[in-house]
Amino acid sequence: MNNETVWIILLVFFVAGAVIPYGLNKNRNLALVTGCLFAVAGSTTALWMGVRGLVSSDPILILMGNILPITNLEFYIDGLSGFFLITIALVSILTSIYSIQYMKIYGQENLAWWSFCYNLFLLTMMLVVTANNIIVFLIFWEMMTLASYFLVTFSFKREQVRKAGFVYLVMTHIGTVFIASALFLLAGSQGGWNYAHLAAGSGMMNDQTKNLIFVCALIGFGTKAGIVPLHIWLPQAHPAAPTNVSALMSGVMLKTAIYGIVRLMIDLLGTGPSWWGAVIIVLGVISALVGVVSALMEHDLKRLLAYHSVENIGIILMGVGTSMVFYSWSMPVPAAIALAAGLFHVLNHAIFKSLLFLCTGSVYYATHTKDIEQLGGLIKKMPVTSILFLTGAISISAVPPFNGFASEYQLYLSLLQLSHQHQSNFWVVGGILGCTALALTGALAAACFVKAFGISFLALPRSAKATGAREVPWNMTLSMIPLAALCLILGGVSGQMMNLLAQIAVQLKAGSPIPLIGTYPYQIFLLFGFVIVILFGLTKLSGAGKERKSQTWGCGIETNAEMEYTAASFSQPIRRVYRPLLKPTRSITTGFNGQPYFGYRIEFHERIGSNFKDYFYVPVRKSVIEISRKWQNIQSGNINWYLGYIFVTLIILLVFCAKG
Amino acid sequence: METIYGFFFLMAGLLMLPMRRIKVNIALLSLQALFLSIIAFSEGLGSAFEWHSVAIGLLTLLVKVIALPLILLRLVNSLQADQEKDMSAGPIVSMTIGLLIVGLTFGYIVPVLLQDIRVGHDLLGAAVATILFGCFFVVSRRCVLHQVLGIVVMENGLFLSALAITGGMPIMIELGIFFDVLVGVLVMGAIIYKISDSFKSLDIKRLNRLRG
Repeated sequence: MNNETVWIILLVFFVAGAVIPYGLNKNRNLALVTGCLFAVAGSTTALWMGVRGLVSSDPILILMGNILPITNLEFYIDGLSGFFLITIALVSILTSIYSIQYMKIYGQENLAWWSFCYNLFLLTMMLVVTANNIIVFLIFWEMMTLASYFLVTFSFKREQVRKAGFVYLVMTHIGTVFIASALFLLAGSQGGWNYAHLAAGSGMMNDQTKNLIFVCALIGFGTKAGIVPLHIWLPQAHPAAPTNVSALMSGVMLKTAIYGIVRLMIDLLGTGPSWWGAVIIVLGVISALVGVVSALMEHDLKRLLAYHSVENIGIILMGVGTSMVFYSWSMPVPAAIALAAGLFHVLNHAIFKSLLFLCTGSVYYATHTKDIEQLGGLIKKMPVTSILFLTGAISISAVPPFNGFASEYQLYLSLLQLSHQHQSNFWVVGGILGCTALALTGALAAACFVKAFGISFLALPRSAKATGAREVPWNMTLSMIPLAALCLILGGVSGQMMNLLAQIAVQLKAGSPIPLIGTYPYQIFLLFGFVIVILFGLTKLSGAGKERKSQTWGCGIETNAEMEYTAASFSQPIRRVYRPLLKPTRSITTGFNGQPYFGYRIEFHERIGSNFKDYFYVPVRKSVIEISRKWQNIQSGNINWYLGYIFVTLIILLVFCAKG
Repeated sequence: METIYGFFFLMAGLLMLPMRRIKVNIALLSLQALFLSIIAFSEGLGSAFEWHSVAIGLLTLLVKVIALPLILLRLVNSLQADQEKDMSAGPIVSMTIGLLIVGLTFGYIVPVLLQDIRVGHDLLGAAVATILFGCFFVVSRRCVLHQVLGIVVMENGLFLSALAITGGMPIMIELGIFFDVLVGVLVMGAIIYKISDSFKSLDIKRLNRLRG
């Protein structure tokens, strides 16, 4: 089959998935299943196209016709687009299967509307990363934002959800303004809107325009990606959306912004000065650290994961920034390797983050809560989900031999390479500091997931909701198992993956061929595992003591859930260390009824402040509202005034502007 | 000769500015349109016969000199709204601004800004000034009926500028413009009825209430 046919089939699948459920809306369940199955079919087609684009040496060009003057509806799948298409499609397939069962808890809602937005969302994400033309790109980018907005506000009856949706919409629209400015500045007076035209035109641009484009694109795509301090919509929108949607938004939608950054800054804009890369690395480091520290303070599982998205986007940006620095030094080989490390982390994060979100969804499905403090003891009731969550947690904490470590290891090497090149003292120190920040991030992420896993899955249940939990149906776990398997497999084949991804960079920027990339010795971990198995076997053989199950000894007091370590107490030391950043304010009230020492009660509240909110967003919001209120006076409601404005404008135009 | 007609055309517009009574204004408007049609006739019959300009003159005579004032007069009679209570700007201020507009047009806009346009200098000045009169007329009045008059004045000015610069547009477009003006005034008449029905007044200050 030729490429055009496959692409049309893909479009038809998604459009059918969006429209047909409306016809079947009488039977909600049937509508849901139809929508999800079409999404699976469409995503599978996209996966096939992505693989084709990634392996073929020449980019695939698909022309669908002319929609506007000098604007063709044209799609272009080179290695980079193919890679992002694969990432999106992979997560979409599994999430769609998962949704069939999961969305049943929303059985009373308008599921046809959900199917419509969901299919449109998947389709537009795929079209964004394959568009070959900035007009088409912007159209689909905006459609993607709108579709995801409606998915976020799916349970719009709750006020919090509406608020979160509004913040999301405002932030992403501000972002779109900057993206559009960057793209149109880049297009300038070129003959066309195609990427090929832009890439050809950027060579003749002066440095000032290039810097302006860089800053605009960074702000625009940074808003979507959620880099600090533009991340405030992320921790609000993700908990508001249904969990399967959060999995997609966090796992792959943020990556479309990474795609935009790579495409615009590395492919189209040409090589920039090294401070571009430096800015991106610094922003990446800040995002990673702020993200992970904020995540540690969260007790809502979904918000915790949302902050980890901020962290991981930061890590990815560190890879992209490092690669840009190397390109500016005209060192294509380390640049390609650094870019490959960043892209590898894109794939890895997509996989383990969607796995974690889907596990959280399963927990929510079983217990109807996502507050860690209400959970506990789930490992005995939901063993499969627990193991899957643990796999995701280990991967995101960058513990070998899972995939999170594989990509971060390559990133460490790239950052060290930065300092090893001895370009200037700044970079010698900067590279090392970047590494340190990455290590700190990894450690804090591990602490965070010890908390998340330990508090919610171990020990005794803390509430009736957690006590009554049961394992989720098989079709939900079935869609998560491949993700967990991929976490392990990608950790194993990291060398091959890096070699494959480095070719993408070579395709973007022709340079000397990349030598075979070595990776960390995976065999050691296999050996390690092997040794553990042997030792375990030997212990059994040598007749270790039999298991004996009995009550935990609690000094004569019956142990109960209130004695357990809570999430808040677990994160207390870190809250104390990062006091300037988190600004915790605590209030303790003690009380007793009647006599002291009996019926003694302590209430403990600790709130986390946010510097970004207090010193940036709140003042900006306030001043915008104030200025708007002042300007409201020109809207007097009097028609004479309105006509007067027109009259005055006309005179001014005549006197001043008609000259030109 | 055309310059003199243009002068009268301008004067008719200028005199409308301080007038309070609507019927006087309608008469002045009709007079202004009459001079417009005379200008068109003199272009058509002056040196050589041009049926195009003559047709325009005839149409102006029919639509703007006779039909429109009649429609407006009927409207005024049925609403009994001849005397306007209040103006946003008083007669003296209005007149002063009108004179300023004339000065601005003939002193600056036409000789400096529009210096590339060489043809029909004096008529062009009268036309631009009349457009601005119309604008100011609309701005300075509080009665809805006056606003309709102001729009027609602006239209007259635009029409004269087209006539002065190019000697008129293709006949089909001219026809379209006449039709537009006629329908526009009819629609505005209908809306004025509606306003006077629901607000019991023609004062547009009452419309401030519509503000959200």
